[in-house]
Amino acid sequence: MNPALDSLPTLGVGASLSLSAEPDPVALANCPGGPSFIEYAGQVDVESVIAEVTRVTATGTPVLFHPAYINFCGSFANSQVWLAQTAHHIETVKSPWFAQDLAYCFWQGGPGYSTQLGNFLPPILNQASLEVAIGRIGEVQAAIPAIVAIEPPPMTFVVGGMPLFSFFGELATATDCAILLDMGHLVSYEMASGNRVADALPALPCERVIEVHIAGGRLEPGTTNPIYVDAHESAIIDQTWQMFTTLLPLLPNLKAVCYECEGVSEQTVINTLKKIRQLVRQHTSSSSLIEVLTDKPNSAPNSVAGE
Amino acid sequence: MSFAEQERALFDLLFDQPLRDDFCARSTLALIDYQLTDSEREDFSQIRPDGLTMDASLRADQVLVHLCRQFPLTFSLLSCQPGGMDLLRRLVNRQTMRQAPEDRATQFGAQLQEILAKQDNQGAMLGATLAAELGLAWTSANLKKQLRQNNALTFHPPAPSLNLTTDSWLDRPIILGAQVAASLLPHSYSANKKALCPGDDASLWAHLSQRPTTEAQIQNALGQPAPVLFISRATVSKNSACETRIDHVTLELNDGFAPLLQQIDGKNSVDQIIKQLIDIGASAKIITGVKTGFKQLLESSIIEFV
Repeated sequence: MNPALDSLPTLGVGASLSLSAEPDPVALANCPGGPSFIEYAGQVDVESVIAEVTRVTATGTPVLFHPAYINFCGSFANSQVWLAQTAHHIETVKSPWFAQDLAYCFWQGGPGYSTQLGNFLPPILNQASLEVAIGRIGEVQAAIPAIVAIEPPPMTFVVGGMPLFSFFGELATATDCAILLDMGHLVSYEMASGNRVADALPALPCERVIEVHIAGGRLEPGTTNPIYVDAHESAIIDQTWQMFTTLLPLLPNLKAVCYECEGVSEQTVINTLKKIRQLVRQHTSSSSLIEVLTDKPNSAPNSVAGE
Repeated sequence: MSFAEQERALFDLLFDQPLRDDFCARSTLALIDYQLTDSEREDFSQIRPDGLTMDASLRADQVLVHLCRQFPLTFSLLSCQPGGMDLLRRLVNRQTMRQAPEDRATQFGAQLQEILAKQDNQGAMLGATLAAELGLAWTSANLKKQLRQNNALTFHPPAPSLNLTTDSWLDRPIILGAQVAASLLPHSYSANKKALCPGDDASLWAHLSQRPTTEAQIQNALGQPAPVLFISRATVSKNSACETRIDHVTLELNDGFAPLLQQIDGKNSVDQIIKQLIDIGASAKIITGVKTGFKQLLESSIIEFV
C-alpha cells in the first residue's frame, strides 16, 4: 500500500461547512467542543476562497478541500488546466489530502461543477466502468501530487451488478489511492440496490479508508421501500448511525471523521460532534484517532445529549 | 455495443422523460434503440424505477436553480400560469442538457420561446421578458466562448475616452459595443424584477416552487403599459484559466429610442442623428431626451466612439 497514506496526519472529528454561510466555520472552530478541522467544497480557483480559508486556519484549525468538479469515472476526460488549478489550490491551503465522490461531474460538453448536472451522477458499477475509472484516477494522480481519496456517491438507483465495495476496492487497489466512506451514501446504496454493503466487506481494502463522513438525510416514500435522499440540513437517521458504529471498528487507518452540517444550527453541530466523538471513542480501531481525541481540548470526553 | 453507449443510455434516462417513463413501464425493453449487448442491457435492470424518477426530479430542480438565475422574471411570470412550473421542469431535457454548459441556458430559453409562441394567451410581458432574458443569456454565452478561444481578450467595457460634460463628444462617430442586446418591453424590466422576484436570484426557484407568483401580484406590479427599450452589454467580472463570470450593464430608455439604434453604424455621430431628427420636425424636448439617452449609452459603454 502507498506508504504516503501512513504518513498523513490524523485530524480527528471535524465538520464540513460552507465557508461563506451559516453556521460560521470560524465561530464553530473557536467554540469548545467544536470541529478539529474544517472541510469545504469550493471553487477551483483558490483565490475565490483564500480569504475565508485563512480566517479558519488562523484559529489553528486545518482544512480539507473537497472539490465537486473532477470526473473520477466515465469517458469524459478532465481538463489539465482545471487539474493544475486544483493542485495549486490544495497546495495553497495545505490540504493534507483531497477527497471527492467518484461520479460524473460533467459530460461531454467540457469541465464544470457537478451542480451543472444537478448533482453527482453515480458511476455504472461494472467491469468496463471500473477500467475506465482506473484511467480517470490515474489522470488525476498524474496532475495532482496530493493523496486522492475516492468516495462512493449518494444514489437513489444503481446501474450495474458489481457490489459497491468490490468496485471501490478493486479501484483503490489498482490506483493505490485512499477511500472516503460516507455513511449516508452507503445507506443510500443499500436502499437503492437492495444489497447490504457488508456482504462485500472482504472486497474492501479497509486499511485504505482514511476518512468517514456522516451527515443528515431523509427518507422519501418509494413504491415499496423508502428512498434515501442526501440532505445535510436534516437530522442523521438511525440507519446512518448504525452504519457508522458497524464500520468504525473495521477501519484501522481512519484519520478523520467529518460531520457534514451545512445549514445546521451551531448548537446542533456542537451536540452532534459530541455524540460522534463518543461513538468514535467506543468503536474505532484507529489508535491514532483515539490519541488525537484524547489530546485535543475539543475532544475531551463528554456525555452525549440525547443518548 | 460499448461502455460509451451505456453512458448515453444512463444520461438519457435521467434527462429524457418519455424514455424514462417507458423504462419505468417496460424496464430494459425501453432501451432497444441503444446498441447494447445483453449483459450491458442487463446492467440497467438493476435500476429501481422509483429511485430513478426521484433522482431525475431532484436533479431537474437543481438545474432549474441555475437556470432561474438567468431567466428570473420569465420564471416568476410563468409560475403564475397553470402548468407553468411543470413546463420549466420538462425543458430540463436531453436537448438542453446535451449542450456545453455555457449553451444550456440559451437552448433552454429557445425551447421555451418556441413553446410560448404557440400559446395564444402567453401575455405580452412574458414573451418580451423571455426575449430580453434570452438576449442576456446569449451575449453571456457568446462572450464566454470568445474568451475560451482567446483568453487574452479583455471585454471589460472601456471607459468613455472623452469628457462627456462638454458637447465635444457629439461629433464623434459612434458604434454599438460588442455583446450588446436590445429588446422592447411593455413595462420596465428592472422595476418588475424587483417587484416579482423576491430575495436573491439563487433562492428564487425554491421560492417560486413554494409560492408561485399570483395574477394579482403581476397586475399590481405591471400597472399601466409604459414601454421601454431594454439594452444590455455583457461584461467580464471574472476571468481565470478555469472560470469566467459574466455580468451585464443594463439601461432602460424611452421606447422611442429604438429606431435610433439603426443609425448607430460606426459612421454617424450623435450630431448627425440629431440633425436628421430636426429635419423631420422633432421638438426641442425630444432632442434633449435623445442627447441624454446617447450620453447614458456612452457612459455605460453600451455604445463606443469609433
